[in-house]
Amino acid sequence: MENIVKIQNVSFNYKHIEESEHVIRALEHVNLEIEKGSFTAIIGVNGSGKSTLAKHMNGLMLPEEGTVIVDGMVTGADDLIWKIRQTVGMVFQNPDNQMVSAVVEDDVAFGPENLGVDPGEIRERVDMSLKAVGMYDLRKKAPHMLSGGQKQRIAIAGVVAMLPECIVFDEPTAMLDPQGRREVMEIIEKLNHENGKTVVLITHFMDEIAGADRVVVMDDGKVVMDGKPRDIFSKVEELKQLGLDVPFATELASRLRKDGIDVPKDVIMMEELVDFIAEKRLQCQ
Amino acid sequence: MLRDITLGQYYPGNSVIHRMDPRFKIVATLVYIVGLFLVNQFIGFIFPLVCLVLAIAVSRVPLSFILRGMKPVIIILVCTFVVNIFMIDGGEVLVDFGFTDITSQGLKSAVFLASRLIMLIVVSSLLTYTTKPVMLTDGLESLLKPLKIVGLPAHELAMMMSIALRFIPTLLEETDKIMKAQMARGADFETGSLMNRLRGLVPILIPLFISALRRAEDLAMAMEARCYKGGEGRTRLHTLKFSGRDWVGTVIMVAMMVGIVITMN
Repeated sequence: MENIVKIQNVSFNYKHIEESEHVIRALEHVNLEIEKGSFTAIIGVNGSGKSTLAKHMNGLMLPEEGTVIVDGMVTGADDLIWKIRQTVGMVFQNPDNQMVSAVVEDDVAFGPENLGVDPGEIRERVDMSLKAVGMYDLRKKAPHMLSGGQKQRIAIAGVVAMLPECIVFDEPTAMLDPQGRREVMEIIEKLNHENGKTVVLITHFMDEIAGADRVVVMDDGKVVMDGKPRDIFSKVEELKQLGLDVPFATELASRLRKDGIDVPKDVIMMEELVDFIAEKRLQCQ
Repeated sequence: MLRDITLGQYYPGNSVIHRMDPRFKIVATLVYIVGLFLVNQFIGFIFPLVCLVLAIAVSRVPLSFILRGMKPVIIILVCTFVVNIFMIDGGEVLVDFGFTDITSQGLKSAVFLASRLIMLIVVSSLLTYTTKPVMLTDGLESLLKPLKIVGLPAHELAMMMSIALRFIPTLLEETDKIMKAQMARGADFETGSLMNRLRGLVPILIPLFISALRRAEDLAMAMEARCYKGGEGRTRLHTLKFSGRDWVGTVIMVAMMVGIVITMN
């Protein structure tokens, strides 16, 4: 399979004051390739470098060492930067702070307008994107009248209207209520499954990564784990050491295992655990 | 309190006036104001008055809404009226207070200036009542574009205005939240001397500024991620079109100006 984003040996430091000795290492020799059409989740605690990594994927930040290649284009080349940002769209954490216009449909049109798309086609793209996120009926509303989840869906529509190959979501649900989180996660999964968009989801909610094809765990600027959600979830102890929460079912399965109950390794999700316990009970009777 | 002010608000509607090209409405408002200042005797007010009544009737903005919008400027109106009525001497004395008096000339000029001011305020508020802020900034951008040659950043100005409009409700909400948070910790904004009350604003303004700066940074990042690179090569979803109704409006405006000029003495 083709890789849409290639991150090769990338390092990045934050300096609090220019030219000061005191630097904070955000990324340390990170290597990561994102396959076209895949759904990759990146998790890690605050300060693990996951957001910095995300901003490298569309040239919002440029690596101090190493290279980032997006669809064959190296980030940092001035003439390609807009093509790169059109290829890899980005949705941020705070829905309020990424809306430009006081009318929903004008906000969605902002990206295509910047790309110089014809007015007729902008209209088509805006309608298409708003329908994709289920917000077409609210296209004339003002953003401040909407809920957090709705605003975040508008932000997603704004990115979809630019027709990107890949969308990076930087903690898109961190500021939402449970209802809004559910709405946004549904849209993200739909964009990956139905529209074939490559999705990179940065999050610290463990229950959001279950739908991903691949999970990358970051700690202290390094990739420390990389694998299928199941494989990652089964390493309960390591995840806890990294300061990450484990979903309830996974945690319970691991504790049962510790107490000598033979829970199979692949029992991770709530439904599987419920099935297992029910079966066990039948056997006991 | 801030919500009571209707001046400068948008009154949703779908009338002919609402659908006019914002560029026409902006220019027409300016021409109208120039016209008001050209009028130099009462008879001349007939033309702008007829136009205004016509525009209000067609726009279907309720008169009560317009009158409510006048509230904040009533003090200015009364002040100019009073100053004029006492300061201008001439003609016969109508009321004599001894130390000052009201003359027929003074009364005339006070009424004259007040009518000019009222029409000026009503016409400019009618512009904002019938034009969405977004359309207003679009219209301004388009009108100011020729001034780019002399170095006026038309696109940037319009962008700043529309972002400001977008963030007004967000920052109002935030101010409310900060005030409540400070009140919960015992802050007092309502009592004490003026100095004390002003000092009380500091714990509201500082968090508000910090948060506004943080939002600005986030927004800049989000705009860059969506390929914003200034006005160059940018297209628009809504293109402005000068249509039949704008031509009708133009004719009416020209007729009004001709009428005003003829009645000048």
